[in-house]
This record gives sequence, C-alpha cells and structure tokens, in this order.
Amino acid sequence: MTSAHLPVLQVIMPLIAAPLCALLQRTAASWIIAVATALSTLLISIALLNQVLAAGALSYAMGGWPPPWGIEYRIDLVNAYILLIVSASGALVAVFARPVVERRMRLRPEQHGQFYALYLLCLTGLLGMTITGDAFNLFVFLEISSLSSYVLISLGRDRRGLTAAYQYLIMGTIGATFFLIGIGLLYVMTGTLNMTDLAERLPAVADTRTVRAAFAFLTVGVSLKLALFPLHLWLPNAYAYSPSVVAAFLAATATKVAVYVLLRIFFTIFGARFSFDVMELEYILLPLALIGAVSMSIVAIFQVNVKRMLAYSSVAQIGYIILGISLVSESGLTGGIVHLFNHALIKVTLFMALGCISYRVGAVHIDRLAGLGRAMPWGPWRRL
Amino acid sequence: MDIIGHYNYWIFVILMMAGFYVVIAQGNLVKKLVGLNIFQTSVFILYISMGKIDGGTAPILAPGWTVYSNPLPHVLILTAIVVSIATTAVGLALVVRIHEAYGVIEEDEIHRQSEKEVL
Repeated sequence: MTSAHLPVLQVIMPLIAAPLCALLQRTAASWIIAVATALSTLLISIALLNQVLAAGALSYAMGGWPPPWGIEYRIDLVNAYILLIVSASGALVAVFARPVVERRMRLRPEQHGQFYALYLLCLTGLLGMTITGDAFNLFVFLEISSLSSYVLISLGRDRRGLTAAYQYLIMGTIGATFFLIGIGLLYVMTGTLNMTDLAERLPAVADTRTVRAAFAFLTVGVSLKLALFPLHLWLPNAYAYSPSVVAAFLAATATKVAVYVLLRIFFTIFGARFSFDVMELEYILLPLALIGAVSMSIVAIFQVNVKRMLAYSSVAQIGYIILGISLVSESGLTGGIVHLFNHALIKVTLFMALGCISYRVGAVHIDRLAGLGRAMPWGPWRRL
Repeated sequence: MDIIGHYNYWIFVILMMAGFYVVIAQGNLVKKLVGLNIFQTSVFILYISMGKIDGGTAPILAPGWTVYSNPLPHVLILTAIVVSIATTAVGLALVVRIHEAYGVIEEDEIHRQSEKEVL
C-alpha cells in the first residue's frame, strides 16, 4: 500500500530526517542520514515517474480530504520530470558534500549536522513546490526552501557570502510576498486555492482588473525567484560566495523549480490563452530573455572568479529557457523544458568540479588555476 | 466608484508602497528589514480584510447569527505571519554576522570594503 502514499513520502521523508540530522551532532551519522534520505527521494521520484508514465496524472488527497477543500498533491509528467531533476541533483550533491562541509565551511564539527538539516529542509521545500497542486501550499514550500537557502549561502568562509545571503533574503522575500499577494487576489475572485479548481473558475472572472493584477504579481514574484534578467541581481554573488556544495545544489534546482512554477502559473492556472493572447506576455518575456542570455554570457566571459563566471552563465541559461517558453509554440516549450534538464545536469557537475578544484588548489581565481593539469592530471577540470 | 468604503485596501496599498520604498531607499541593513516587515504586514491586512464580511461574526455557530466571516484567509495569514517572523529572524541573524565581519551595517561602507578584497 505504500505505493499509493509515495507523493506524500517524497516530501515527508526529508522533512523528518532534517531535525534528526540537527539533533545527532555527529558528522558521519548525519551525513549518512542525509545521503540515505536524498537517495530515497530519488528512488521515490523514479517510482512516481513510472506510475505517471503508466497511468497518467496522479492525484493525492492530503490527509484524506478531497480536493479542492484539502491540499491536493498532483503529479503529471512535467511534475514527475522536475521531481526527478531535483531529487537526482539532491542525491548527487549530498554524496559529494562531506569533505566540503568538513573543511571548507565556517562550521564547528558539532554544527555539521545542522548543515545537513538545512540541506534536507531546502530539498523538502523544492520537492514540495514541485509536487503540490495547491497555490498556498506552494508559497509555504517556497518559503521553506528560501529560508534554508539563505542560511546555506551564508555558510561559506568568504565574508561576502553574508552580504550575498542578505541581499538574496531581501529580494527573495519581496518575490515571495508578491506571490502571496497574487494568490490572495486570486482567492478573492474565485474562492479557491486548488490549481485545477482555479483553472476552472478563472475564465468566468478573467476580464477583471483584479485577475490581471494577480497575474502580474505572480509573474514578477516568481521571476524574482528564478533570476530572470533584470531581476537576477541577487544570483551572481549568492552563487559565487556560497560553499561549492550549496552553489551546485541551488544552481541545479532552485531556479529550475521556479521556472516550473512559472509554467504552472502560465499554462495550468491562467491557461495559455489568457497568458499569451490576452496579456500578451511574450512581448515582455522574449526581449528580456534575449537581452539576459546575450548580456550575461558576455559578462560571464570577463569574470576572473570561475564560480562567478558560472553564476552569470546560469542567468544566461535561464534566459534561454524563458526564451523557449516565450516563443509560445509546442516546440519552443519543449525546448525550454528539455534545457531545464540540460542546464541542471551541466551546472551541478560544473560547480562540483569547481568544488574539487578549490578543495585541492584552494582558489577559484582563474590566474591561480594555471598549471592545474600538472596538479590534477586526471582531475575534474577536464569537464571545464 | 466607492473609494472610501474600501479604505482598508487603500491602507494596504499605502503600507505596501511605504515598506517597499524603505527597503529600496535605506542603506542601513536593519532599517531595510523594518521596511520589509512593513511590506509583509501590509499583505496581512489584505488577507484579513478580504475574509471579513460586513456584519459578519466569527465563524462559530451561535443563535441569532446568520452571517459569518470567512475564516480561511485568516488561517492562511497565520502561516504567512510565521513565515514573516522566520524571515525577520534569519535576516537579523545575518545582520549580526555581517556586523561581526565588517564592523558596520551600512550598505555603502560594506560595499566599499568588499571592493578592496581580491576576487
């Protein structure tokens, strides 16, 4: 009977493992718990993907309360695919995390468990955002993942990580609050929070200023979280000065999940007709995506800190993904969604490779990396 | 158009804009957080006003009452209040750490110190 409860296990397991890690205070034990949990979320997401492939979209009523009154977890193909990306990156990074946590962070040994607790909480939030079919529940998970990622970013040894985390906190909170306002306005108009229910009830009231305002608030709020140019200002510093484990994890997952949320808003809640025919959003998204992709790639070329270079390239890649979505065609959307996976895979490995290099050489400054081939002849630099 | 009748929504807009302005305009990290708090609090007012019905009472069945306020937005905003408290706590903790590392909490000064550091 467990297979029927997989959707909730996906979120509950890391949520329960997190305080366990924090209480244990033993590096090895909490690392093993974190890895085991992350691996089991990966297994669950594979099982969920199989179920969805076999039987179509799944619906799970939280606590037995039928939707739209209770919280519904709804998994279709896109969902299951993003869950797989998040949990696979989560598992990969958790395996890699231990040496970085032990040597390259501003943490005392007894605090290592707390790092893994935060890591699992962040994973919980991201998985929850992906799996839930309830708009307000999404906000709660968004905040769980955001709050833990603010702390994770500030854990690097560079003091600029603190200001980067602070800046992210300010911008992330503004984004999340905009999202909250948007949900509130939608609730005023429709009286529901369930996404499928919203989609059914919105067309009747779509031609009002409130719904248009809600659409704008939701779009801007989520765009802040996914670092769409020009709302990307928090991202380069946050990735550059955070520990490489955190940068790898967030680069692969946080922005991807935000892109997924944007897709849900555009295509499930409001529907493509409202988003692109009535609001004509593509005329805003397309130029921003293009400018972002080109300008951020150019900025990335001139960076001397390799981590910062990868961070700017992340913003550029987000531009490509949004570009695919803003073309408003089936192939454009498919391209964008496929690029989500490409970028997640490439960025998580690149950041981890960089983590290995900085672990060995002690720097990510491009001048200091000269002669790396001699120091690490078989090292991960080959990926670069 | 009824402008005065919806005065609580006007308060929401004014508070939101005021808080947002403080977040952008202030250079002091603690004052920025204060602005952020005002900004978030304004959303609480939005949610609370939309659940309230004129002449409605608390949603507890009682003789003599037929109109009840909608409790759901109020419950939702309890969650958002908790989130806001957590955000403020994390933000203040970060400010304490920033003060330990830089000795100041003014954005300009922190920026100046950071510029001198090697990349």
